Amino acid sequence: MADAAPADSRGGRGGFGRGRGRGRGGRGRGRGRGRRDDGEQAWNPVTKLGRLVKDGKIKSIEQIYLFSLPIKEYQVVDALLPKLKDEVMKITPVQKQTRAGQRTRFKAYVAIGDHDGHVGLGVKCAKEVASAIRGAIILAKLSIIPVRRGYWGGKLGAPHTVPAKVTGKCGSVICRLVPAPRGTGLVAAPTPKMILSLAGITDCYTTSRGSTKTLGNFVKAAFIAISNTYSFLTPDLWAETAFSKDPYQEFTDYLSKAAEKNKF
Amino acid sequence: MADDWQTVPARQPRHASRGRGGNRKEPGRDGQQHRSQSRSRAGQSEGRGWRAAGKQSQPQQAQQAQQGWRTGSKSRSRSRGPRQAAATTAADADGVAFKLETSNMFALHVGKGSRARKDEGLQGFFEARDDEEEDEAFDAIDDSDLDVSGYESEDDRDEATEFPPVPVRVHCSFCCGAEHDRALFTDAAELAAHLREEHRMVFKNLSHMVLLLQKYLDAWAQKLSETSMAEVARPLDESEPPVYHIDAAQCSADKDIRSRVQKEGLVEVLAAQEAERQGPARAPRKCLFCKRVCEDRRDLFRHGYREHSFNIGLPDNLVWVDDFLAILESKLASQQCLYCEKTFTSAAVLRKHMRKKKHFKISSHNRLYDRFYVVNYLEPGKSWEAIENENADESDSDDRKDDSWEDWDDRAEEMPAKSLFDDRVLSSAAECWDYMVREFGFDIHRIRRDHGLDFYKTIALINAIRRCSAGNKCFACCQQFADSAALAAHSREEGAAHLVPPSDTSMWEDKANLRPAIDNDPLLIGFDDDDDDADAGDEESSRKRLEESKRILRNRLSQISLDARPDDTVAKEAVTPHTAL
Repeated sequence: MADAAPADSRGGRGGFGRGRGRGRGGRGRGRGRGRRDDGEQAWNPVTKLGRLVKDGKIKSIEQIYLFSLPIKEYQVVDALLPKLKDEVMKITPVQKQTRAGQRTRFKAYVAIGDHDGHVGLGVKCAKEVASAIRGAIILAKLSIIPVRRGYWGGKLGAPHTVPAKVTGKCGSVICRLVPAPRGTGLVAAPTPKMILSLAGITDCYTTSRGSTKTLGNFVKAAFIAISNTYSFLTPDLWAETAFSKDPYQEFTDYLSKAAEKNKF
Repeated sequence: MADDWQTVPARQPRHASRGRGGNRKEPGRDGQQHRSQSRSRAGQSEGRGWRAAGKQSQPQQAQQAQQGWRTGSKSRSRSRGPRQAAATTAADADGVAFKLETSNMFALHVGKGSRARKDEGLQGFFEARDDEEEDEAFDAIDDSDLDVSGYESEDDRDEATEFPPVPVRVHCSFCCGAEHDRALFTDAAELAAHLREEHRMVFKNLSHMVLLLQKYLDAWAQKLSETSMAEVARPLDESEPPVYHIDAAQCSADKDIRSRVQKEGLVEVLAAQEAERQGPARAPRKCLFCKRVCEDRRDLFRHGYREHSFNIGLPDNLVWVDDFLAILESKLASQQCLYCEKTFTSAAVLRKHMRKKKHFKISSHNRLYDRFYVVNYLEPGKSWEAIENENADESDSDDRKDDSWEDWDDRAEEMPAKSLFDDRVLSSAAECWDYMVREFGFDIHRIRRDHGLDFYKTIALINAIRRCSAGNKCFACCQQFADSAALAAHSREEGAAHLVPPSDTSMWEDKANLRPAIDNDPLLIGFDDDDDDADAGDEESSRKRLEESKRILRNRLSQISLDARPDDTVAKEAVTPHTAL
């Protein structure tokens, strides 16, 4: 996560400085605001993948998923998936004993998705609510996963449900997703329902076991179940695939040129 | 040089269409009159104006007269005399740079943080330009008539330092009587005095709890009804009957109460914030300073920051934002500056003052706004400044451990479930199943086993029963009943055994039964599924094998530690997983 340098350039009278006397601004807030002002201060990619995405060599995120390349910069996801929507699921205070007494912070749980086949989950703890939310959104973007959708009966129209019965387990909670016919809607508890809808699944039955009160584990179990949709081998995937070059190999010349340019 | 003023830069058409500054149609030179007539909007005319004010050169004066400009420069120069002169001279001295600036004045966007804005010589120029970006509501007013000299000071940062005391609204919990009969206090000092006189108690650091005052007092009232005063507090020296001093540092009860109240308060505040995030935050609202209506709260704050440099923090850090904005709006409506808290004679004067001094912010020392910031509920007593400073020193290393998913425990997710055969609503699916077993003998697990129902068939069954029960019809024998009570009685008598139709009925095929009969039916989610899945079976046996192998390994390991012998080969062999399995 390339966190940009403090917005010192924002000095000046109307600008946003540090310290008191500037309204209720503060460090984290200040930086966030400043960045948004510029159209999100230009992104200087640090990884090779970032470089390729910024220069438009990689056009879709499926190319990244195909080769299981780790995504380390959230701007990559932003660039490839512009229609992401985030939902703050919960903000809880957590306490910690320190030498100087108790330290309370806010923990934000965020789910992100584009209602069309990609979801992510993030959790972050911070002193301010806004920083926690922002950090959680960034982590959620980094954890985005593709979702495979299929049909219940005939292959008419667009896929609308999970392709097969998939299950996910986290802690003591087991969450199971079962395909449903079109028009069923999402038969699930409220929180996993939100994740399923962010994933773009329109119809699905769910059952769950274990202590579903630990919502954190429940949500993670649902997420794992969703991510297992692409791990399930169905007959239509039996066909042989031709292997292609991974982006690093394909664009290796471009990358070395870009690296040289950046040396200056 | 003069020619540059005449060239029409690309921005002009846009400028004309913006329609600011009221009427612009006036005869004169083509295209120029728009800018020249709009009194303070057109930067170019401005520049011209102020430039002319400082040092009028002959050709310019002539041109002015020619174009029939009103000496609008006067309006601009009301209080900028000294600065303008300086600017002009600076500009003249640096003729080339200035020319560059002005020839495409409209097209050139100078960002808020750019160094050009800090340049002394260009301050006047930018002020003229900036005006069109800021408030537009009062451009019809000719400021030359307003005298604001009394309000100006050299010091730019004259924040207000004295504030009226923060109003509280607290009932004294120690007075006897019903809620509404108790004394209501709107001033913290009065409350403290009352507590001292009437109830003989003094709380130390009562101001720390000012945000949660009512809760705190209620908690203490309850505590005192259980224990006596003497146990928890020590008397101050003087009088008879003794005045007790309650101090968090010395009295653990106080500490407990404070932490409990704080936790409750924090949870409440977060819940309020969450409710707000779903509802009011998505509603459009008019900006405080201009006419623009922003579509939701994030947009409002972003607009406030970008256009007016108005910053009260990120919306995620605030709570009860509507109230907050209402207070600010009322202050503005009563012509009070938000930052220095001075009152002005009219709205226009206020605007002028805020624009000049850039007081588009709130005073950070004013405790009135404390209750709107969530950070103040974190640790009552610690000001947000202290927390900010503290944060700077905190190390990040512990943060990683905190980011686990297990902290999230929620009782609220229990969904109430309605029974299949009567109208009783149970608080969770598991309870509902139990209830139906007890009352109607309807054991879903047994039925599934007996009839070999898989997942989809179970769902169909439940939905079909629901549909029938909704119509007061018995599912099995299709008898119609008058109402749900009769149906319930019938189901109780007959028992569950006859409820499941044989497998060749159309009911199983009917796709409509796969659609949930009622929305969010917890029974569909909450039936235990372990017989259905072949995988589950495998899971079970593989888990058993795993446990077994782990046990063997543990035994071997303990053996090794006991006999610490040099026959390493033997020990190693014993431990490998292959042999264990």
